[in-house]
Amino acid sequence: MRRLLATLLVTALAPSALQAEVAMVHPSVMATDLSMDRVRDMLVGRISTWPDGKPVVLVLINDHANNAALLKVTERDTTRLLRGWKRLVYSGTGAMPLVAATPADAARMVAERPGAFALIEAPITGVSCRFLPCYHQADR
Amino acid sequence: MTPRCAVPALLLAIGALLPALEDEPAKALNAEVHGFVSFGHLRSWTNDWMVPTLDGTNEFWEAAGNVILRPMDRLRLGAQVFARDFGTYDNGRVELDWAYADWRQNDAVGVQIGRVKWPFGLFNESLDVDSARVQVFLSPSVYALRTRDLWESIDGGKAYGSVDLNGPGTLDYALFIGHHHFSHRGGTSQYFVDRGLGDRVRLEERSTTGGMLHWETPFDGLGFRVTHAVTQGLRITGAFDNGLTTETTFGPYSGTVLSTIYETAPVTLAAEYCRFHGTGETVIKPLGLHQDVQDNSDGCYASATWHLMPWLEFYGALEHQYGDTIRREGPRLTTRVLAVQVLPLRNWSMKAELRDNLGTLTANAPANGSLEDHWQVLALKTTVDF
Repeated sequence: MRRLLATLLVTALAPSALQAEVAMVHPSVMATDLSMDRVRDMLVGRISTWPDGKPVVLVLINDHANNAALLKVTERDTTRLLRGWKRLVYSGTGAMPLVAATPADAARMVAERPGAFALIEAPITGVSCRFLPCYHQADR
Repeated sequence: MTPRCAVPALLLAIGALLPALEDEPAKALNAEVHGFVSFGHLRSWTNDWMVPTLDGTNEFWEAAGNVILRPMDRLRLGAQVFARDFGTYDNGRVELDWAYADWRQNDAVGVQIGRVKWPFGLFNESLDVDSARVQVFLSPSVYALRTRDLWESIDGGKAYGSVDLNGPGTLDYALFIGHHHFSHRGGTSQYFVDRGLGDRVRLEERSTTGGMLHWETPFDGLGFRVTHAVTQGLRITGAFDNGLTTETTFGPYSGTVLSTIYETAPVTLAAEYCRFHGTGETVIKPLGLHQDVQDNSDGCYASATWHLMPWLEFYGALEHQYGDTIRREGPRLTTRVLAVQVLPLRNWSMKAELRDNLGTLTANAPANGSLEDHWQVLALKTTVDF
């Protein structure tokens, strides 16, 4: 029930984001929503900072449902995403994402790190993170 | 300490650093340590390929370790040491691959100074990163294998960023300026020794400048890139044991790459065309002989990567390169490439690559033999990263 309520809350904030993934972020992140283009750019490493200068600390969730969400947004599964990140890390243009086994683990990692961000298929409750709706530019 | 001992020692030292990352000072600096090590086997039939490969060689490995610090918002500091052995090239020489301070003001503006990597084509910055690709080799028709130190990093600076075009996609850019840090034991020096410019050579240059533009189109996964770089004042001084010396000077030496990539969930397609141009003169002293030298080579490839499973991927490519673009004569090479990668673990890859060649460019004749037009290369490689 709590999960359902949380989902309703997020979809009420962004009606066009029905059935869409949401961004789980550290409470210090100032944004109120995120475009899907920006989410994809952060996931593939093209964008590495928030507007206030904080580094984006990417957390990937390696379970089936969230792998599907990653695939939908980036056209890459976790393995391919991490391969792209290795390209950045070993060429000196990025820092490696963290990988969580479950959404709860990801929430803990995000809550501990300023600037942290994870794409998640649906909000979870009882965590110290914020959930931002993700919208498609064409819906605006 | 010999280079071969230095590499494992270095990796052990980096490994020893890992527990220190739990310390408070390391946490405050947001320190990260990463590294990789690759071992491979290279074997060819009929001709040698770049290095002695006819009898098979295990002198085919790479290792790197890096530290990245984020002491404050917008600022990142990092350094990486790297070593490799590629047959007679580099031989385990440990070098500072990159070391930089990076300030990212916003998405559109970032600046990096120090020893920085520079983009050339889609993949030059990750030339050594075996774990970042399915195939063993980036296409040698575009990416240098023997002269990696000529293409990898420069001492200088780079400005880069990503601009949202609000509809027509995203434009990434990079501008760089600096100069190379050639070692007389590096791959480029060895390359010119092999080309007969001396038993020992020394390289100098005045500067390398260039830029990259990458347009990520609104059509998901489709991107186009152009890269151009110019090296000024390249001078190669060679000395022979018999007392003869050579001095080779180049005018502006340029390289241009046109690239496209299309990434989807099951398949990644890529194609690139590369053109080099440089002219110069070699003077042999004390004989006073002069000889014109030039590089008018080009190369291209088209590739497809099939991401069948997260742990199983296939790669196929058709590569082509000419030694002389203008006259379209002399040595050339067409290569059909098939590769497979298996990932037993996320940080452990095993791969095999078969290269079927037509032509003699980059081939060396076997001892007591002649160059043949049709020949093959097999490469096996395994990589572990952390």
